[in-house]
Amino acid sequence: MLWHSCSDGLVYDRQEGLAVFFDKVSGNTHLVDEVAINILKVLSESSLSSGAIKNECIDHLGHISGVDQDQLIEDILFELHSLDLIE
Amino acid sequence: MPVVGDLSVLEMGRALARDDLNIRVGPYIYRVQSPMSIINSGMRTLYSDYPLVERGGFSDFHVAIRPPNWAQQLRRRVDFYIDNDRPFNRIEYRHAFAFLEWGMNWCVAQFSNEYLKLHAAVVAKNGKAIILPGLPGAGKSTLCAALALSGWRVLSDEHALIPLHTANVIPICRPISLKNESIDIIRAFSPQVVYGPLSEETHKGSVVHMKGDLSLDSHDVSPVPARFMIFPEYIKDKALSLEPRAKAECFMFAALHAFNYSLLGVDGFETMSTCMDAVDCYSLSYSNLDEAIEVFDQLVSPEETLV
Repeated sequence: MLWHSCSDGLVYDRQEGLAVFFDKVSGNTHLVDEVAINILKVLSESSLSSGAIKNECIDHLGHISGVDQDQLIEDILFELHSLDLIE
Repeated sequence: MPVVGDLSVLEMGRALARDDLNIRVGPYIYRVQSPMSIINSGMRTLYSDYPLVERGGFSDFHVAIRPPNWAQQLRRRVDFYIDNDRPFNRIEYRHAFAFLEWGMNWCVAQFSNEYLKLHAAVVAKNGKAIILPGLPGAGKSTLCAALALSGWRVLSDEHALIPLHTANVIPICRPISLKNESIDIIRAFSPQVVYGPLSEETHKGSVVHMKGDLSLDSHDVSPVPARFMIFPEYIKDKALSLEPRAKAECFMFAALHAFNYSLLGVDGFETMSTCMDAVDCYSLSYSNLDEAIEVFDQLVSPEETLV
């Protein structure tokens, strides 16, 4: 299964661990963490599987310890999907 | 330029009754009409230094406070009008001045979409504006009032008007709204404070408005660059603390509590981005106004020793 972006977004990201994502399609604004914003960025360029997304986000996952990284990616994808940002 | 204080009580009463009182408030002109003495008294107390604008000219907001008819006059109840529409429920005569102030705020909140409008107080000193967003009850108006009485210029106690794609704030200085305990706190802080009519038992409790245009340049409408965004919170007996905050988090808070961020769409996002890049963000917890003001003074000093 490939994920792809269904939003056209603007990003306010000053590398603080949090970023703001403005969805031009819905007009909604979201506060997201650095992994989620990276997922949105990579999916805006191409459609990817969960595994490929994890590889793209590996730099941002490095400092997150004590959690299942595969599950973390799945949880974030689910959340972004529920916000209609990806499908 | 003539100011409201140049009018005698009788002249003021006539101008108000004849729908002939045009005053400049920041970038806007209000035309105010009311036959009521409480409005005459409140306007003369709190708006005495506001510029008068030529009679019969253009006004951005045409507002009135009056009873709708004789029956309601006998029942001592009044309406707020804008262009002869009544957007609110009728209220008691004794709350008329507070009602006028709320109505005048509402005009800006509702219609002025040429700016990004944050729900925030804004103060300035040494050419640097500090935006103070905050949830109701956080203490921003109390702090704003104390700053005004300590040599700071108040740009607004309610609306941060930011021209699109800039990090500037347009001054719109109006009387500062104080509620309940804040009224006595500020009276104790400075006996020189000037209050308008007190409205007791409103839906917000006791409300009074304080003269806020205490600086020589209060009515200058030139934009002032924003330099800080501070989220104040009054916490009883709490030692003062000033903690840096992530800009993205502050962006989100300010946008969610803005009056028209969503309405402006991409322009709103881009203006917030421009503004957030220009400001340093902090949370300020305080229980002592003097200590809080000292922090503010240090922030805008030429050395900016805290940043």
